[in-house]
Amino acid sequence: MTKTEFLQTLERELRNLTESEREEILYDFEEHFAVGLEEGKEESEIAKDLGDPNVIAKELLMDYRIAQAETDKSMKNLFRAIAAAVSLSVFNLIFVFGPAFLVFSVFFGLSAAALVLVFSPLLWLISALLEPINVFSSFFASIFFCGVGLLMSVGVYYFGKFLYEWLLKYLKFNLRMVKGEN
Amino acid sequence: MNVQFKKGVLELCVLVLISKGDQYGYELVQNISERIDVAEGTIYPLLRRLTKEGYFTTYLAESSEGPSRKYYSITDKGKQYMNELVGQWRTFSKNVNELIEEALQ
Repeated sequence: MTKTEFLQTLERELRNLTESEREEILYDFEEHFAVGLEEGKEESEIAKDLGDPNVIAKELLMDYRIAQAETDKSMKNLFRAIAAAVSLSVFNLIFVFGPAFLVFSVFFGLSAAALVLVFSPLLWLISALLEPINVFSSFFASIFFCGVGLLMSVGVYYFGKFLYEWLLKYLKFNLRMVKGEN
Repeated sequence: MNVQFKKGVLELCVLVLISKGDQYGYELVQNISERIDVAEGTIYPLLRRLTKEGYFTTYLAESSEGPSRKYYSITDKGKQYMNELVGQWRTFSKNVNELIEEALQ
């Protein structure tokens, strides 16, 4: 692989980064090639020692996605960071996708439960219209459940924030420890 | 050694080497690959990350021969982090060595 091929591959794989980030990264590798050539090495030799530019790009992309999810907290950015981690290695398919799936399942389960509780007065109304037995006692019960649901929603909201931070921390740890592969 | 978790130790090596004196990328990469078998290109993402975390600062310096070079310099925060990692590493390697010695006696 020549210097140009190496840098072009890197540039292409980093197309989703901001231009300034991409240019900074490319500069570092250009410098690396320039110094290596001065020391009398061949372009192909330098490129071979650097390793696969696709793998290097994957790592840089994961780093970028994590930073994005940290500054702009959204589900989309978190999913992107997870996707970048999973594409880093087969290892991460198990060690990132697995835990992330579990966390999301628990979170959505709790959210759904809270939602149903909040809307229990509506369920009461439907059942009272269809079958008007014990209307009063079930009315108070539904109000009670609605209150529980509202409290639970607040809990789920903060729990979700906690899970978001936890997942990001885990991804950062993962990036430090897990080697990329092609 | 070619284990998944070699990468975690690489971070420690980079911190220790730069704490000894400012270095530019190529120089650092050579110093590491002399001792550890690693795809050299993966050291650059590591340097970038450690710089973003505030463990290193960078500056450009002209070279007598050829292009100017980007030097990496360790910060106080970086030194603190390095000491933490060195401590962890020493405990870990001591325990593993003891375990091996005892088992292979």
